[in-house]
Amino acid sequence: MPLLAGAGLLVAAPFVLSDFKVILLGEIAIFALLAVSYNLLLGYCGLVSFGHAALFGIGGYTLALILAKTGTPFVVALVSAPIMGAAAALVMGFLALRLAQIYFALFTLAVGQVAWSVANKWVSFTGGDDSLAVTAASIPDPISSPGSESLYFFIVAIVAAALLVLYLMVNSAFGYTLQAMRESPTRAEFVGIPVRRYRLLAFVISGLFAGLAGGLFAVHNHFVHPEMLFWLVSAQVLLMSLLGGVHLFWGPALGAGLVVYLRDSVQGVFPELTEKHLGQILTLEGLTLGAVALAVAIFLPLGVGGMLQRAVRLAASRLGARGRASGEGPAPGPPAFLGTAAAEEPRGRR
Amino acid sequence: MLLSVSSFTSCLSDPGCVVFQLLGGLSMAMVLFLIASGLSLIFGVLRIVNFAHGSMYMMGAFTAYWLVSRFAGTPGHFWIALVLAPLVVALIGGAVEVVLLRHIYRRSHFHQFLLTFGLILIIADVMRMSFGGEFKSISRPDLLSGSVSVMGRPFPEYNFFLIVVALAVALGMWLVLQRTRLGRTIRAAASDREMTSALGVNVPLLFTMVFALGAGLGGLAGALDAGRGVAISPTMDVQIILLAFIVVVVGGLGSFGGSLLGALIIAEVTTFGILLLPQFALAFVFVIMAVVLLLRPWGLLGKPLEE
Amino acid sequence: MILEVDDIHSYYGLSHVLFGISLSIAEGEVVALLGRNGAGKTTTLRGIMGLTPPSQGSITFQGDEIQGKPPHAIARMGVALVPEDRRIFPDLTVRENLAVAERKPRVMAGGWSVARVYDLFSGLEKLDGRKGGHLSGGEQQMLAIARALMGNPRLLLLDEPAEGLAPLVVRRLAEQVRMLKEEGMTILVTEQNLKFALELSDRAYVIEKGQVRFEGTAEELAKNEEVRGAYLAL
Repeated sequence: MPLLAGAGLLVAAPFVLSDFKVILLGEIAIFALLAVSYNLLLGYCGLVSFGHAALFGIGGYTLALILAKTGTPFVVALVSAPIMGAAAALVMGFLALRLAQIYFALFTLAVGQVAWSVANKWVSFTGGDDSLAVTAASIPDPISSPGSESLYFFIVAIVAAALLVLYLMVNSAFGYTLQAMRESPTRAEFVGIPVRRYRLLAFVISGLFAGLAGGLFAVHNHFVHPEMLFWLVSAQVLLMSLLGGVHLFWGPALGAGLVVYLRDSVQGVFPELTEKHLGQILTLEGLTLGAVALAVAIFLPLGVGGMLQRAVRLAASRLGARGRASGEGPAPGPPAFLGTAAAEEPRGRR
Repeated sequence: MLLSVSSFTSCLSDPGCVVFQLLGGLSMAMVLFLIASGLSLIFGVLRIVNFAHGSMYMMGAFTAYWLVSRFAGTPGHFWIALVLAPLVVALIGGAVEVVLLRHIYRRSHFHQFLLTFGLILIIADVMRMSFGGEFKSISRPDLLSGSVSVMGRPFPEYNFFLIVVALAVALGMWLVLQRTRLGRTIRAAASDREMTSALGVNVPLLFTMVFALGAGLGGLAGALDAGRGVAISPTMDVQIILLAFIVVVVGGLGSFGGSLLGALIIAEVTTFGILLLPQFALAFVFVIMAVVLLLRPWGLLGKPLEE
Repeated sequence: MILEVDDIHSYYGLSHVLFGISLSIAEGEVVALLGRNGAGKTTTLRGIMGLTPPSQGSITFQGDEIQGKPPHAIARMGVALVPEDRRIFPDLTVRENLAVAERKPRVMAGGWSVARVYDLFSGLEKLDGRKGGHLSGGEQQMLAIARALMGNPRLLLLDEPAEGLAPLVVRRLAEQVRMLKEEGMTILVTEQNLKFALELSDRAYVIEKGQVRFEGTAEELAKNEEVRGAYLAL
């Protein structure tokens, strides 16, 4: 039921909202895909990557470069974006997955920054800091105009299909294996699960969808910029995921919606401050997102999604208690890997 | 076109050029060392990878700028700024530890990354609101504004001063860590914080002190760099933090000597790399970091962590 | 009573490990806390030390409530823990390991100093400059006890001190603990090794699944086949 209602709202949206809001919704959809693909590593494998922006950017640049430099049809360019994202993820993951925890994070950061510096500095190929345009002429007619309903439906349809594939994947034996490995990689290894190979597959799938999101971003925005690959974008995706709740499939999508919406709504809040700084654009984006990040880290380790889930469970158990005896047991505790348990396990350092 | 082999080889064939570049690299290394040693100290004891450490460097630079402009008429205003700026940053660092970090030591490293990322955003915006987004700079102190001739090339006196200060700080830190009660306690807490607390050490207070000390080292690096004439802006944090990460990863997270070695390697590679591949000197050091991580994840002088 | 533990409950995360443990120790007594692996012995000691604070119940030390206080405060009041795995700082030398635990010299007759612990543990002196990580198990155990003494504790918590040590080393350790006892040190010692524990202690508690199942003098326990058979290994 709620799913149908949501789908109905998404379909109705472009007919009732302004072009500007429609563009915003399209962007939310793209970042939702990016964040959910990221969560395959974060929530399902327990790995923090700072190279996800690079995979996103590689997808975007693949599409933009193919369209700008060759006469290849649009569809081929669009399909190439996820393929290149997956290929880059294969290389990055193959090397990075030898490492654990913070070293994994720092390695993906390094590799991602190499990709960023190529996009930024190889000006003759990528256009560097001037960004690379995706001209309207190179995109098929119905989806070439920003803010149009057709572009919106195109984006939302692809994102929805991609999310469905991801959803089926994490609810398959593959997804359960990833989660089992997250709790105890050594135990998984012990019972014969090839942990590295599973994680590499997860990494590649994550890169595939990140590349797709990057390609869609390029189509949606009509340009790509090196900033797409910068590690702070990865950190923002981390924020989206944790804000929404990494133990839920939909959590990161929810977080992406909140972050993109917040980012947009703080633009131009303080025009007088902007003027004071001689044309420096001051959006308070950093203060806002920074405060959200602190709040999530300290007060909301399970994210908004986790809070909603808890509220729903509580309401359900109240209702159940009032009516018939509820079949459900007590709400399970928070996932252990988020480190939110009240008492620390005793662990000696040898 | 991208590769400029000729300028690289012509420098290598001229001893004057090599020494000059080495010295330039050494002054860069010293700033990197100060930043990285703070980052590494904080990681070693608190087990937190502080992404906001670059923000401490940036605050050091801005504070120095603010103090220099504030005391513009006073003689020795630069020296006042150089002493006060790191102290101010250390105080801010201590407050950050007490108010924010303290709550997340038991959380997953996801949340620790997220919190320090949030700090980056907030501190950058606060700096932008207080000082504006345009580049600032301060001039070198009169006493050190000249140059020394190094094999026929002018090398700024200030950079010599910077090298001496950083080496003195390195020596001082080493002595504190190895020879004093505080240093012993820090080393004990770095290896086993729980046991250390059971032996009567006030570990939460120690953590605050260590974080303040690390932040202060970052602030000192920022103030020293500001005096060198570096452009001070609200984006200098994310540029420097990447280099600092590379240094500590190459040298070994949590290793004091590793910070020094890593800083030397990275600074010299950058200085000579710029001659060879002007556009991609940064990519060079990222590749070094990647290779070190793959071959020796705990760094050249670090020790493997068991998690 | 120097220590009174009253009905404490402890959890690790969501799992309940102690179900209302109560015990008390008089000044100068050596009390054994016995039980199988996983019975809750270590958790009890960690609870007293403040490392795993109980969620309910009370712990008073010399009449002061210490439950809820941070470990360093409890240590400074005069409780010292020698943990099961010794937890020697591997990168610090033997002397440095001792110095970490040294508090500002308190005016106290017979206070412990490096020289005095070297007297008691004669093997340690010649290892003075050696790194903690390079010691044998027996040497580490001596150092762990010596380190605990450096804080001038009134109550010493020893967690399975004999575990993993060769019989000869255990004998020497028993001698050293007996010397501490003769000096008037109050000791709570956990053990699986019944013989070692009974030899040293005045009284014993036997716990199983986080509850006290037996309480009595060492002689009573030595005679009580039933309790020994039910709750203790061999």
